[in-house]
Amino acid sequence: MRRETQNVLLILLGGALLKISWNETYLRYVRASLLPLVVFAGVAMILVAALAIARDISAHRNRPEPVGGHSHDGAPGGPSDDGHDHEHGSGRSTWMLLVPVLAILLVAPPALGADSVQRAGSRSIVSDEEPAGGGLFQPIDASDEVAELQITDVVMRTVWDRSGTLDGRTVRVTGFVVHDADAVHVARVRIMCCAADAVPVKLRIEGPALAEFADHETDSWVEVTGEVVPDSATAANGHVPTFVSESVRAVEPPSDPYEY
Amino acid sequence: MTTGTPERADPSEGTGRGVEPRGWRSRIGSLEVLCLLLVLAVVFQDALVGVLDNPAVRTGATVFVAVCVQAFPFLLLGVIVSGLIVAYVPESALRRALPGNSAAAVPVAGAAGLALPGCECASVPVARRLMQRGVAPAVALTFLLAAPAVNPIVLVATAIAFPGQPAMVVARFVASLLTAVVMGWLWLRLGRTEWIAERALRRVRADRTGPRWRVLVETVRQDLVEAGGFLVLGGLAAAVLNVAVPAEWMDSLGGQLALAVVVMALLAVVLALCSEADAFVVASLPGIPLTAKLVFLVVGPAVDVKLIALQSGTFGRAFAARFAPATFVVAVVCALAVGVPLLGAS
Repeated sequence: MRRETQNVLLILLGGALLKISWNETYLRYVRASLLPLVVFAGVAMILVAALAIARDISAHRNRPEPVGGHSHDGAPGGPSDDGHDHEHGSGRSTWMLLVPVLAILLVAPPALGADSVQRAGSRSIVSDEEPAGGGLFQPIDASDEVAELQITDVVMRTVWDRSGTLDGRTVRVTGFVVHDADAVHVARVRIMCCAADAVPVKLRIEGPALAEFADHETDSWVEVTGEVVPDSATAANGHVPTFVSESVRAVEPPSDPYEY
Repeated sequence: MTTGTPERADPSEGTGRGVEPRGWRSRIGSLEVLCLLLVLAVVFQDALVGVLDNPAVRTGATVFVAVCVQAFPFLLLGVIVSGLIVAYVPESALRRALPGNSAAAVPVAGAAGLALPGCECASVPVARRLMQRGVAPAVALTFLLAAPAVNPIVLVATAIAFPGQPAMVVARFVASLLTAVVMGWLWLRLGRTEWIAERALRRVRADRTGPRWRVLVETVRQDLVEAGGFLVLGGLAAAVLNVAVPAEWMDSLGGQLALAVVVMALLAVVLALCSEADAFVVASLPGIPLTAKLVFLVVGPAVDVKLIALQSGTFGRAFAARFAPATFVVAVVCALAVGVPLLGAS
């Protein structure tokens, strides 16, 4: 592959990284705190390619050439033999750089959803060991009657909290609907670095509002209000708490689809 | 385009790549192919997007893009470090920093891994440039294995993922360092330089003079283009396997240490997780013995599909075909040797 093509590919890939940073779709793929690194990578790729192009052009101009002035497509343009040997033999793999470019710019895969949750089997954020702090959790802010919590927080408190901060508390969570064969879940996906290390968190929906879930398709986002059944998350059911839902309403997907 | 000498083939085109000199009219270059591919992709965009109707493909595509978006910044950091080595670190400085005896230099390189806080993708180009600067392959390879596994960020992440179990952090550090050092010594005894592709070892060319920043930029560009393609390949493999490996693999492994060790070691290879995130994933697997989890954490940063792709691209297939399986076995053995006494066998 010629230098110019490599440079174009680098600019395309760098541009794709900058684009998803700019329109915030990067949040579908990596955690928010990686933004500076993604921007840095995009800028650096474009910079490196632009410097190489500028250098090639100036070298081309300075090269004594009888037919000078024109730059037809066949000319390598660059300092003619620079780097040839190194690129020899690895030319074909470089084409792979086009795959993420097309995937990001044209396809833009959505954030992980119900399929990822169902695929995860019994994986759970709850590890075999009790977290630090001896099962005493920070009290939930009592100023509001309805506590807005992450699903992660609800699961962890249901499993470990010995101080009973969730008992009798009305909580509200936001997640997407997963219609399983035998149950309805409201779930979120938790990531550490990127979507490859996703672990789902979910609540099993029961209660008066369960019937309303027929109107909410799998992968649609909802806000559910209700109460957790104490001690309902056990190792036997994969640490999935039962949630007695009182009301549910459709909401827009949040800009950051994941929990951390 | 109106020149009178269209038949004039560029000399470098002919000699450098073994391509028959041809007229430019008949030559279809890579740039033309790229344009054609882009046009086709835009024309058939709807068909491309339509593939996402399948939920498994959709999940796989998301994972693939995620691996790329996450790994490219770290690869870039790696190629920048390797570019800095080429442009600014004289060979004499490297010689002074390392013991002259390679057997003694191997542990030093392992400990130096503490200093490069990055993922495994970053360390491959760095190891290659170290070799080019005259560092013994065994020493560079030790660094390659140690850097992603024993750096402070990874150890802190492990401590957070396994609360109340400092033994896990200690075991991971010791077993990973042991793997790297054992592989370095093994290479000293058994390794052959000819397994490493000649292009990876070739000394930096003498004409690479000029301003240092220009050497830096050119090295970064080349390493990025070469390694980037293989990183994408590895990302594709990881995405496919991420979707294809059934979750049942991980269920019902509790108690059966031997089976759990084998499955966790293979999972570490096929999932190709970033070494900064793997501890959280492994902590989320229910009912797996701790020692088997340690195997996952020691194997992952040393051998996975993404790394195998990167290594065969950087050092050649003959190298990767020997190095990856050997590392796999050594990593499993080291993890068991450290894990069983420290974490128990149940």
